[in-house]
Amino acid sequence: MRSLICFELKKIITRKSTWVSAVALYALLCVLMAANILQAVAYDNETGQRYSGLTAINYEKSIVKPHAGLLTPQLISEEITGYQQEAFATVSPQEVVDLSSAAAYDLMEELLPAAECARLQSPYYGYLLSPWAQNGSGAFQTAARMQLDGTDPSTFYEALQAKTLRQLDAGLDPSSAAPLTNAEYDFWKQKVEALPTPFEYGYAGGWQDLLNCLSFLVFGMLAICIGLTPVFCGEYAARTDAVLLATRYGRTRLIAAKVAASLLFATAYYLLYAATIAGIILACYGTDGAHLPIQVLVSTSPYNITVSQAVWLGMGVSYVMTLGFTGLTLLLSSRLRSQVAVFAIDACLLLITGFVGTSAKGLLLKLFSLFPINGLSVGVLAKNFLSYSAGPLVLEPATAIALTWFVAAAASIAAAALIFRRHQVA
Amino acid sequence: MELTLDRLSKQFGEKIAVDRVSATLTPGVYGLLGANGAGKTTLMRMLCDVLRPTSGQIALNGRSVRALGAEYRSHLGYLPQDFGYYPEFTALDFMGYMAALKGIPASVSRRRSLELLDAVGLRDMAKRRIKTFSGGMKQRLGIAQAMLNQPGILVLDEPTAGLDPKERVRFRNLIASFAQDKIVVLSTHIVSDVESIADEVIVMRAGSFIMRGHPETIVSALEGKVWECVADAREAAALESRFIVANAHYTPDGRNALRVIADRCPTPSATPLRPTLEDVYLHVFRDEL
Repeated sequence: MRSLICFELKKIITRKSTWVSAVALYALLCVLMAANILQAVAYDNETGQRYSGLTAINYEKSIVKPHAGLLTPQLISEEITGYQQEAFATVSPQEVVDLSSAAAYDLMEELLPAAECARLQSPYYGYLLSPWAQNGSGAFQTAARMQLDGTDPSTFYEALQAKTLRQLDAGLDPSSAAPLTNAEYDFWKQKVEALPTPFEYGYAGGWQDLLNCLSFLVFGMLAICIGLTPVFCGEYAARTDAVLLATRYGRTRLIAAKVAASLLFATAYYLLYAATIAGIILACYGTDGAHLPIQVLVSTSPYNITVSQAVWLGMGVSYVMTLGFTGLTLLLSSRLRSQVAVFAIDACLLLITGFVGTSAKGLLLKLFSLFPINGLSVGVLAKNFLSYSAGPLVLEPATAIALTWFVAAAASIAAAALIFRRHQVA
Repeated sequence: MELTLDRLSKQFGEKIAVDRVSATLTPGVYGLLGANGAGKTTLMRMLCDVLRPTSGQIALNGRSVRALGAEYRSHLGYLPQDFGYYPEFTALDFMGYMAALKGIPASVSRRRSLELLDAVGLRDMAKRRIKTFSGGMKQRLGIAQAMLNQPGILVLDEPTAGLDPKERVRFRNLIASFAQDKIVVLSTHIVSDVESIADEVIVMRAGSFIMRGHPETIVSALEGKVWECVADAREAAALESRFIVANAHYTPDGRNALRVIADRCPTPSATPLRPTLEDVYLHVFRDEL
C-alpha cells in the first residue's frame, strides 16, 4: 500500500500542471506577503513622520507597548479622566463635541503641544473610548461628550457589552443582512454576557495581520485543486483506466492510495502555504500578544478566545476547507472526463463565491460565508453575529464551516471512490 | 482453468457490440480476428472485467467473475489497445506500480520486472522515462506489464501494433514460451501473427463468433478456392471486379500474377494455391472490403 501511495504521489507531483501551478501560486503568495509587510504604514503624530515596512511595525509596537496590561475599570477610569483633563485643559468639551473628526483633530493639534497631541492620538485611547463612540466619532469628541454627559468611565465593560448587544439587537430586524432567529439571538447573547473581564491590553499586530491574511490560503487551495484535478479523470484521458481496473487491486487499494496521496499532497502544500504566511508575518511583526483576548482587535467580538486561538481556529477551519475541496475535486475528477471542467468548477467555488458573497443577504450570505474567501475573513470568524441554526441547535460560523467541509470531504471522497470503482471502460 | 462465456452481450444504445457470444476457453492461445467494429475490443474488455456485459456472464471454473472480483483479476494480465502511460515514470517505475497493483510482493517485484523488461528487449531502458520511448517500446512495456503477475488468463488487444518484424518475432516467441497451461486471448490485424501463434482462431463479425477452430482447420475450409491467375492488365481488372484478389504482383515478363479467391476456377489457366488464414479473412469479410 505504501508503494502505491508513493507512486500516486509521484504521479501528482511530476505532472507539469501541478508543479507549474504550485510554484506559480507559491511565488504569488511570497509577493503578496512581501507587499503586505512593505505596505505597513504608521505616522508619528509628534513629528509628522511617515514610517513604512518594518520601521512602521516597530513604531506601532513602541506606541502600544507602554500601555500593555490589565484594563481594570479603575485603570480605565483614571486613563480616560487623565485624557479628558489634558485634552480639555485649554478648550471646552462643548466646543469639540459637535465637530467633525477632521476638525476635532485639527483643533487638538492647534491647541496642544505636539508630544501631548501625539500621545492623546494613540490607538490606546481610541480603544478605551470606543464603547461610547457614536457614529464614527473619534476619541476627542467621544471624551468631550462623556465629560458633558457625566458618563462614568469606569463602566467601560458595561458600555462595551451594551454596544455589542445593540449590534446584536440589530440582527433581530428582518431587513438586516442575516436576520437572527430567537435561538440564535439567545445563543449570541449568552456568549456576550459570559465574556470574562477585565481584558488585557497590548500589542498583537502579528496575530491581527495573520487573521487578515488568512484568505490568502485560497490561492494554496487553488494550487491543490489544480494538482488533484487529474487524479481520476487523468486516467480516463490517458486511457490508463483499462489497465488499472483490470488489476487485482485496481478497484480497491488503488482508490485508497489515490485518496491517501491526494490528502497527503493537499496537507503538505497547505502546511507549506500556511507556514509561509504565518512564518513571514510572525517573523516581521513578532509573536507578541498571543495571549491577549480577541476583543483587543475586535472590541465587540462575542468570542471568548485569545488572538492566537482565533488564528489557529482560522487555520484549522481553512485546513478542513482544503480537505473539503480535495474531496470535491476528487469527486468531480471521478465523474467528469475533462480536466478543464473540473478545474473550472473548483475555481468558481473558490473565487466567484468570494466576489459575490459580500453583497449577498440572508440565506445566500450564510451560504457564501461557508466558502473560503468569505469564511476566512475576520468578520465571519470573530466579529459578526452570523450563525447557522436548525431548531434549537445553533452553530457559530467556524463550527458550521468546519462541519460542512468535513462532511463534504467525507461524502465526496466516498462518492469518488464508488464512481471510480464502478467505472466502465467503454 | 476454464473460462466460460455464456450468451455474453454488450449493447451501447441501439448498437449491439457483442451479441450472445458463448464459448468455453481452456488453456491455449486464441486469436481473435475481425474487422474494425466487429466487437473484439468490447469482448476483451468484458473478459478483463473493465466493462460490464449487458447480459450473459463470464465464469472462471464455474464461478461468476463478477462474484470473484479481485480474485478473478488476480489471474488476469491485460494489454489494452492504445492505452496510455505515465510519461514521467521510468519503465521500472511503471513495472513497480503495476506490480503493486497486482499484489506482487516488493521483494519479487523488482526482479520479475527486470526479467520481463529483458524479455521484451527493454532491459537497458529500465531507468529511462517513458516519455522518451518510441511507440514500439511503449507497446513492449505494455506486454511486459501484462505478464508481470504470471497471469492464468492473458488478454492482449492488438499486441503487435507498432512492433517491427523483429519485435513481432520476439513477441511470438515470448507468448509461445509463456502460454503453457494458460489462456491467452489476443486480437490483431496482422493475420500472420495469429496464424503462427494461435492454437485456435475465432473470427468475429457484427458481435458474433462466425468461425472457430484450429488455424489449419479453418484454412482447410478454403481448400480449392484460392488460385493464381496470370493475366494482362485488362484481364486483371476484370478479375478484380469479379473476385476477391488477395495479392497482386508483376511477373518478370510484365504480366499480372493475381492471387484470386473464388469458389470455382476463375480462368482456364488458373492454378490452385494453398490457402492461408489471410485468404480466409478476406473471404469472410469480402462484403466489408
